[in-house]
Amino acid sequence: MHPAPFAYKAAHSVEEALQLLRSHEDAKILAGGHSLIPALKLRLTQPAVLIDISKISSLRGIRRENGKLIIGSGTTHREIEQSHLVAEASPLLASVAPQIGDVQVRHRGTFGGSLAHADPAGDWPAAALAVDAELVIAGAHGTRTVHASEFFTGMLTTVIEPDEILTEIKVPGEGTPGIYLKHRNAASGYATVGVAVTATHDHGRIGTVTIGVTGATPVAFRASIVEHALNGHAVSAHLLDEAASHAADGLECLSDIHAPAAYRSQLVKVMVRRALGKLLHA
Amino acid sequence: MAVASPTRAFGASIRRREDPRLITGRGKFTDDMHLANAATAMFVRSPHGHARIVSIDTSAAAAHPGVLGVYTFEDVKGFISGMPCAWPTTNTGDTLKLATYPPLADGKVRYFGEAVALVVAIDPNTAADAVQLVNVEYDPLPAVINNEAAVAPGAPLIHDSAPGNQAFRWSLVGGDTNGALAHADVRISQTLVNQRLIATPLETRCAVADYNPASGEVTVWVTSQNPHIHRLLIALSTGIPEHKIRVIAGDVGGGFGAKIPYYAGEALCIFASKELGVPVRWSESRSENYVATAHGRDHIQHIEVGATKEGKITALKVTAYASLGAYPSTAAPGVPTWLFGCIIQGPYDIPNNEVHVIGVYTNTTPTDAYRGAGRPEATYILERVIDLVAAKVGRDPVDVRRLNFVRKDQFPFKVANGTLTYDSGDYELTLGKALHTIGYTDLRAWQAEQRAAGKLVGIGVSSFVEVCGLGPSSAANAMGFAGGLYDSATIRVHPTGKVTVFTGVHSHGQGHETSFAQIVARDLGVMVDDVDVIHGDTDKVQHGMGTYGSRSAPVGGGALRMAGMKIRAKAQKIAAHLLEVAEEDIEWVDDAFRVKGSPDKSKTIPDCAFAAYMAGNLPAGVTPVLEEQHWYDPENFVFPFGTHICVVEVDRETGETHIKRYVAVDDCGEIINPMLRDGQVHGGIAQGIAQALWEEAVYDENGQLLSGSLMDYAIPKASVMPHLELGHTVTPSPHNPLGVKGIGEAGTIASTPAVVNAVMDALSPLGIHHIDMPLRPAKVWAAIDAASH
Amino acid sequence: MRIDGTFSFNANPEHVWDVLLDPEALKACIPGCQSMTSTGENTYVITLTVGIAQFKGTYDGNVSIQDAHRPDRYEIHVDGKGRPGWVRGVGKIKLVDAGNGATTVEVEGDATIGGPVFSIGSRFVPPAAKMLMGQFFNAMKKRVEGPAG
Repeated sequence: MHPAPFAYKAAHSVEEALQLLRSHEDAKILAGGHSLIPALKLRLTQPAVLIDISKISSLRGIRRENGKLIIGSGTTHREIEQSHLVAEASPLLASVAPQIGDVQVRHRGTFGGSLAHADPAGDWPAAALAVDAELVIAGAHGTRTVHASEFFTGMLTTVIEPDEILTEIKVPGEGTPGIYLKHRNAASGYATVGVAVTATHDHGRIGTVTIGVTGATPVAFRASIVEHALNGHAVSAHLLDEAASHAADGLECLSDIHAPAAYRSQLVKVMVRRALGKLLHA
Repeated sequence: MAVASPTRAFGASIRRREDPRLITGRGKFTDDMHLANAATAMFVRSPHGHARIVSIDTSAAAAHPGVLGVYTFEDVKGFISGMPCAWPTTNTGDTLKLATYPPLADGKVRYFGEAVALVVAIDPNTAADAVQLVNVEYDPLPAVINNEAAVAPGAPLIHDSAPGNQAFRWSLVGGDTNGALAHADVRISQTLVNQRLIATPLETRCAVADYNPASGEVTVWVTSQNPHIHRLLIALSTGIPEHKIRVIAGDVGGGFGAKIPYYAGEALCIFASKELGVPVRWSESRSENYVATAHGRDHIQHIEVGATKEGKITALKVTAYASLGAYPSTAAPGVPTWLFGCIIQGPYDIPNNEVHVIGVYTNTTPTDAYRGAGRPEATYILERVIDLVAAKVGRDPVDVRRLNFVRKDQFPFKVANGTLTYDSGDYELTLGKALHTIGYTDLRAWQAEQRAAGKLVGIGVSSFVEVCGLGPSSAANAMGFAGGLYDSATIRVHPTGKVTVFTGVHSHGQGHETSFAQIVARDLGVMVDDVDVIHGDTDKVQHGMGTYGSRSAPVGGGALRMAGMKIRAKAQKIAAHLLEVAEEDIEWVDDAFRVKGSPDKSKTIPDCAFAAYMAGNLPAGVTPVLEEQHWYDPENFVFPFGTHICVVEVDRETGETHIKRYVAVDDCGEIINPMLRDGQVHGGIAQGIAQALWEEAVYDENGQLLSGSLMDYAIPKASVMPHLELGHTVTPSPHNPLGVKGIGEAGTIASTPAVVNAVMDALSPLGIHHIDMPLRPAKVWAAIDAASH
Repeated sequence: MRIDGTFSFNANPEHVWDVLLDPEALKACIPGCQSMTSTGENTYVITLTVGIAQFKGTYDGNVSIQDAHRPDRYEIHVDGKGRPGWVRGVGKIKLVDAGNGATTVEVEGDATIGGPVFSIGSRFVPPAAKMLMGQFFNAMKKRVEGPAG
């Protein structure tokens, strides 16, 4: 459990971090380190340089601006878990945070790190999709903003270029009801399947439902089929049953020693149904 | 944590005295031994389950700056050519095929993670870099993982010396099983898989060796449950004279059986230290521990049962295919044979039973004892069988247990195969108490309501008896164990009356520093805090056999009691002399020798100790000082028993099992410290539940370990443990000096079938009668899904 | 481990075949191919640096094309090892004339993977293999349908 030699550079501003990224080949960004450090210690990855961005204070913090919740990429899961602002503005994020790892992990692991790592079993990608988060990415030529729906490109891969850094995440802050249900892998605690759902309803009629699913497939996705079947319809148990039964249609689910594809597919359907039931009371 | 008086020390819930040290980072584990100039050893390990080694090129690694040496089998074989097996047992006409277990792969690798080369460097980082530079060319061979496939015709041959991959056939026969099967009202055949497990102690293994070329002495710090056995095996395997070897197993962070064996990594630290003239340390990483430290269990069992229509079992026939892994580890052959087969009828009077064990080699990490070692495998069979019989004859499983129990008036009870005589027991008592605690009758009514509402709720009962307190040496020898199973105690009462105790057993979580002090405090009439317990250092402690098989309290504790009585006998002579009365005129009352009729005239053990060290005023024939030693060889094993009951709800849609209640009633005879007893039961139940629901070492068909880290191997976490409702009864062992039985393994033995029985009971309305462990949600859901189509 | 896939090309089977088996095209399209040297007819030694995200490793291995029947089918045999682990596999590749100058390429892969990377990260391996195969055929598709197509 000893990493291969690497150089360590601590950045104190986003500019400095970007500069370091540009001037070093084969560099990796170190934030909370909860995915990177195990891989380093197992020598599964051997970058020449680690650029530590955990000391950049501007990447950390939660604020509300123009009705949106703005979360710095270096904000820890624990900070989100304990934020009253998040609890009020985004019940879905507040539901996800305490279900990540354990308290120690949540104190170190970061929101942005988890999104940028894009682990197929990560929790945040499902939520980011469900709230249609906007991800702000800084590079040599300024910043660009990418919607979650375009951010994740594959297993462990995103649109972030090697010389770019995810700096902040913007989330709608209207307090839309939301919930995250997670089936934990008994060994790792990662999501076998995780379902992040937001829903609005008024006088028995569904407004908008959004559903992000993680764990089931190499990359998290929006269960659009289910959303379309629900939006604007009158709430009924039958409708939710019917809609959720299609949640896994066409999916090519992951398969491992814990959960074959058929089981993940079952979990997607069951958990989508249960999350909808909790939010829509049916 | 003072107790009011010595008399009340035994049986008090005293907090563990070792914990302040351990939980404040003041413990001294092997990895804490930082010797000057110590080099680091690391291993190049096989990425294949089975392969011929074409070549090993160590030149780049050897040339790497900071590397002190790179060694292969050819380099080390002169020092150690094979790892010894201490339990080379068989009892059938077949010869035991004990394959050579080379310390480094000899021409071939036979399991994933097998050590191929040893790298020694100035520090861990350099060693890790150099490991990457050793280039090994392999020619992969087909592997065999499944125990039955291994002995099937045409299976890949693992050892030339073991044709058909069979290490042994072993059998025990009692009564006329075939005859009873033929005449049985009902017959059941069932195959059970008792899956492979990885012990996962909190502390991985570690060794530090310091060879002194001037004196020829070597000191070895090692994570061992039995330092004297380690010393003996080091001497026998390397030729270093035994009296030149000091083995120190200081604080050890959990063993669960996996730290019984003597491993190549430990031997090769000694080799490298001798070779290089510096201390050499090796410390396992977790992923290395998962391949390099012995695994446990791994049986495929075929079972045939015959019973009357009332559910009285008349015949039980078991054929078990047990994997030794790729090589025979230290105690491996004894675990699936004697420790499994002798107790095959459990707490039941089954007059006809047979057990046949085929020990096989597979391309997997070697197996050895794992908490319970053999007895969980036997208990699991019995408790599944009872429930299957109950279902077949349409009776409550509790009634079937009662019908088959050995009755209280049958003790001492000799089992049908003649190997064991149960010392004492009252199986109805623990069952009754467990049923009462859980409210069984109401629970079954509740279950009926829940079922009517569509819920899958189940109640699982598990009654057990285990054999532990290993054991009489004569029995151990008869079972082929290459050693005695006595144990030892030295009690040294210092001139001031403070006491140091040296015990031959070893504590790696059991709490001996507390419980053993309680034993001695009572016997010597001194405060617990005035007694210190020393263990684990072969230069300090007289010979002893270490800790496994729940033997510490029965055997180590028995020795302590006997040594304590010797102290008392000598002190009594001194006391009588000092009190100027005849020995017959004094008695031991309230922690002192008192003159009969004049209790104020008294002498304590510390008083006598002072006189014994002054030595000028001792009775005739009494030698100076107050120190006694005893080697206790028990006359029989001990047989703890109990009943556990588990209530579960299974989520029909996800297959998840939720434990709603868990009641455990154990009888381990006299109780030294209820808090420690509960701790042992808690830990044991956690590991047993984990086998039922989560843990499994998974290999693919090529011998790759897929559950190679804690990301994929599911150990139990505090957050998923149910509340445990514990109760106990006390049926003392009639032959043990303390009346104690063991408790370290009971929880593990009982809980696994309790949980599985509960889940199967929950699923029984769907027509599901058995699913092999672990009952992962995916597997349970697949069974539910299949049953509903 | 099974790795299957189907890819469509806007070119006739002969043309697709010629590109798929062109050593230059192979070298350009195999993800992470560092070098590829012919050691005989249809056999190559190859060095790859492949992986996903931070899980990257360098592998040395042999590649051979066997049982080639232009333009219908061939097998590609791979045998490689690197620090993170080793791989052995056979891909059976079928080119089916889809009409209108199009070809469907069907891949049936069977790979055996082992070593530390598999023991620790087995959950990543099958999707990663599938992803790399997709990258390969997409690159080939560009080449087939590019200047010539």
